[in-house]
Formats: sequence, structure tokens, C-alpha cells
Amino acid sequence: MERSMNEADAGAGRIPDVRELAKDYLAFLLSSNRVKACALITSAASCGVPVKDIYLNILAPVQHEIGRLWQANQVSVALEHFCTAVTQLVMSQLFPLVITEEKNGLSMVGCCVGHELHEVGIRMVSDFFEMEGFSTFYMGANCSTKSVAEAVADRKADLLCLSVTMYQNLNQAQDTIALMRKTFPHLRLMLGGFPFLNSPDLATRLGADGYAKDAQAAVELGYRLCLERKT
Amino acid sequence: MEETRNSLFTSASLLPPVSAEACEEYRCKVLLMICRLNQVMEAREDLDDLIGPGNLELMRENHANHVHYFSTLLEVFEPGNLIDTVTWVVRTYRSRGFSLGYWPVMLDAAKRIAHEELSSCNSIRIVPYYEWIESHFAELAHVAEARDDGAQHERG
Repeated sequence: MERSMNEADAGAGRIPDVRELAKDYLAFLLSSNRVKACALITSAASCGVPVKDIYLNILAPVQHEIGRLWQANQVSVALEHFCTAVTQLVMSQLFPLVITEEKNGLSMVGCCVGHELHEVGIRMVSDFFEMEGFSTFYMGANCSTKSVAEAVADRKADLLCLSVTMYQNLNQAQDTIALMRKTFPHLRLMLGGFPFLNSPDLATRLGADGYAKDAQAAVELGYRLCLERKT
Repeated sequence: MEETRNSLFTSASLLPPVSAEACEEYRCKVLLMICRLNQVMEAREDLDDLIGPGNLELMRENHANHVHYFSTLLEVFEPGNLIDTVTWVVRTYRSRGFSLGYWPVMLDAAKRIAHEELSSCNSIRIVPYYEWIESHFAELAHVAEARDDGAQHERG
């Protein structure tokens, strides 16, 4: 069986190139090869490719590319869902590398509001906060305002990150933010997702403290917001 | 192309805000609007020409998304999002066999249904949004067919 360049790198103990890894990962997904896709990423991680690089430069762009191919009707819904499921499986396999023993004393809750089902982005964001020492509580997709409020209270959260992909879920985000503001005056609130990419001031219009374009930017902004609140 | 988008943005920015009462009435009648839009469109003899064969479920899905989207748009209006969403929708459904002729027909039907189902004081605030898309649809379609930013659809 042929080995990809990155498999060869991994075998030789070299750190593989993330752009090549992304190409190989996409190819494995599109050929429905879950086993090879997972093995490629776990072996890259064991060769020293940082988890953040894997998230930002392999998993995220490949998910975007899959979305583009779906939109162009070049991959089916079934294959698109398969690819997303594999990416989530990979993230689960990487999770032991995400966990940090050293905590910074801050607590973060992350979820998709209302009927929003697109959860990979906020899952990545939650893992980035975990890697930075936050105590994180990732709730996934389709979270009611009531369940978010309960989680924020139970976890004594400092920061709530809400993800919206579909524009029609924005009013639910707005309703959730309004309730959180009233119930938890200390809480810092951030938004992320497709509707904010070209409208950076939309997040503050909806009542949030800010918006982040990706997981790294989310951690930087979230940390700053929490520090500002405490000082 | 950026020039066309900027010109669309400037024009859409002039749309008047919609009152809370009008938004509320539209939101309460979302299911009715979807149902009526499906009825009107499905009664057309030229439907296959408009949406392509075998795309009835896809069209119904689009109508549901459209009405839910519009409900949010009226409450949280962002001109850039309106342009990005319309162009995204056109690209997505065009790649599945919808003709460009579908949207003028659908938008006209949705506008007439809004007239009929909403109180007149509220419908006059909402209809300008439909009229804006209708009158700029050629430019929006042009932007949609020229751009390749489908990667923004990250599903997961």
C-alpha cells in the first residue's frame, strides 16, 4: 500500500508540513477513509505537530473546503456529515493533549444557541480555552437559553462563548444574551460564527462584549475580557 | 465585483428600520407564510423549469429557511449579511439545478403573501425589503456567480 509523504515523515520522525497534512486529510475524508484520516492526524500529533496547528491549519480549513464542495454540489450531504463526524472523532482522540493540569482560575462555557447545529467551531474554541488553562464546559449544539443559564450558574462561569452559523439563529442569540446580562451581571459574553465575519460590530449590537474570528482570537479576547472585569 | 458589492451595501443601508410590532407579527406568522409560499409555488405549471426536476423538497427547505431568515433579518438588519446570504443561497441552489428565474417568482410570491397575511400598517414596513432584493436581484446574482466564497459554509 502506498504511503503519503506525511506518513513517511512520521515514520522517519520528522515533523510533517501542515499544508501537506491538510491535503492528505482532505483526500482521506473524500475517499471515505476514516481509519487513515484518523491515523494521519494522531501520528502527526505524536510527531510533534502542535494541537493548535492541527486545529487551525488542518481541521478548520478542511472543514471549510468540505463546506465549499457541498455548496458546489460536489459532495453529498451524507459525505459532508461523514467528514464532520470524522473530524469530531479526531478531536476526541486529540483531547488528552488538550487537557491542562495548570488552571488559571477562570471558567468558560461554550455552546450553540437555539436551533444551531453547527458545533465543530465552538468545540474547537472550547478546546483552545482548555489549553490556555480555563476550566471549560462545552455544551455542543442546540442549547436552550434555560440550559445555558443553568450551566453558567452551576459552573460559576466567567465567560460564555456562543456560536451562530445560520443567520436565522441570531435573534435567539440576542435573547440568550439579554437574559444572561440580566441574570449574571459579572459574566463576559462573546459571539462567533459566519454572520459576524463580515460584520464585526454585529456582536456588540446583539449585546455581546465582542466577537472572535477563530479559536486563537477567541482565547485572546476572552482572556482580556475576563482580566478587565477583575481589575 | 467589490464595487458592485459596495454599491449594493450602500443601497441596502438605506432600507428603513422595521418596527418591533411588524417584526413580531411576521415572527408569529412564520409557519403560515411558509405554508402559503409552498402552496403558491407548487401550483405553478412551470415549477420544474424554475427549480429543476426532483427538487421539490429542496424548494420547500429553501422556503422555510427564507421565511425564518427574513424574520431574523427584520429584527437584526445588517446590509452586508443580506448581500452575503442572498448570494450564498443563489450559489447553493443554482448548483443543485435551480434556475435564476426561480427567485423573481418566489420573491414576488413571498411579497404578495406578506401583503395579504400581515396587517397593512406592518406589511408596508416589510415589503420594501422584498422590493429591494427584487430590484437588485440581477446584481446579486452577478455577485453570486462571480464569487467563490462557499468555504464560509462550515458545517459541523
